[in-house]
Amino acid sequence: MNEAVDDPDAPDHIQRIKVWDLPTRVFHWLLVASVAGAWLTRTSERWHDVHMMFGHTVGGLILFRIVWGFAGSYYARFESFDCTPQRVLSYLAGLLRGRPRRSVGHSPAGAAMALLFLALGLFIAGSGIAVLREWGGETLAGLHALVAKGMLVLIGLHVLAVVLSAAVLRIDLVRPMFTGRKTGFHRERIGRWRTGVGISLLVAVLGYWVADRTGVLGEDGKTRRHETSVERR
Amino acid sequence: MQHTAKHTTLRSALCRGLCIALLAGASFAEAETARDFLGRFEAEARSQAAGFAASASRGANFFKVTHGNDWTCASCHSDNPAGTGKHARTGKPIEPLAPAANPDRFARADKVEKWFKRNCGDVLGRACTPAEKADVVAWLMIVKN
Repeated sequence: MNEAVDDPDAPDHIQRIKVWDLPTRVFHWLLVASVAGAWLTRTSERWHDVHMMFGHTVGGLILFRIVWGFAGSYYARFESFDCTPQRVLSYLAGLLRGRPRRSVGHSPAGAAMALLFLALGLFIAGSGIAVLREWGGETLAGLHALVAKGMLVLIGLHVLAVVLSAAVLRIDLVRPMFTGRKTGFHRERIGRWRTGVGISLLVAVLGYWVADRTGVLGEDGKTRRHETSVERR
Repeated sequence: MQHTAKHTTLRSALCRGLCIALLAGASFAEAETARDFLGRFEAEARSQAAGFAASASRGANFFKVTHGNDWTCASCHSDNPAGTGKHARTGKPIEPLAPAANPDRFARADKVEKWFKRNCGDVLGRACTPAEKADVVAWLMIVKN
């Protein structure tokens, strides 16, 4: 197996190729941090503002990802998501037989899972913001918590799939989510990392977190216009 | 369609059974008052310290002092819980806690349990004891606007 990286003279050799652009990877790990942070602060009144900060972040990240699903590199775009019910089922069947169909980007199951995450995450963030603004009341608050538990189950399945993929199929899905590279044919690669957008996303989110925690932003995330008696750390 | 005597008896029995089940279920989930909770907490407290009696003045004091951290119950629910409170971290208004001012309070066991668990954790860093809960409820019951 040829290990040369991006060797244009060997188009049919298996190589380490660019697959996941930087914005997609940055999005993924910021989402992991934000969902974890939101979950851990979910019942604390003392940390409720941190919970809201992470919730706003999840909402913003998902909105970005939806835009990126149209503007991003190939494997980040929704058009590359091959996840009709038939495809997902046939992929899972192949998986159970020990012969899963190879995908460079998302597998059908992976793509379906990603879309589910986006939908659930958007609902959870949206319902949280609605409850914050007193638009929904008790019922919506209950739904917010319930769907969040559903998201937790989905995350468990996701982690299980990644672990089993490594243990049983010997496919490492974690490293590509950091490096962006997978093994594939030269012609399957994406052209650019889209580093500018990736760095901008990271800076934007980290900047928001710093501004929120240092009190530059007011209670609902808008620029502070007046002193309040609310405790600041 | 003709109903046999047997069908009619069976159907009315099922209806009656369903009605009883619904009423029982409804009363299990609803129709509690602050007094019910006071009684329950007092009974629990007595199982740990015989002869315990809830004290509203003790409850008032408990509500307004710190318990090892910087928050009191009053930090969010205000010194007069018959009025609107304000979240100490977010500034969001909080509906009155005193049942005389807010009939939604101390009406459902699941909610009472949830908020005691959550907020005693915030204020005390631990669960409130049944005695503490009894004292607080005893005081809240007499707080009026």
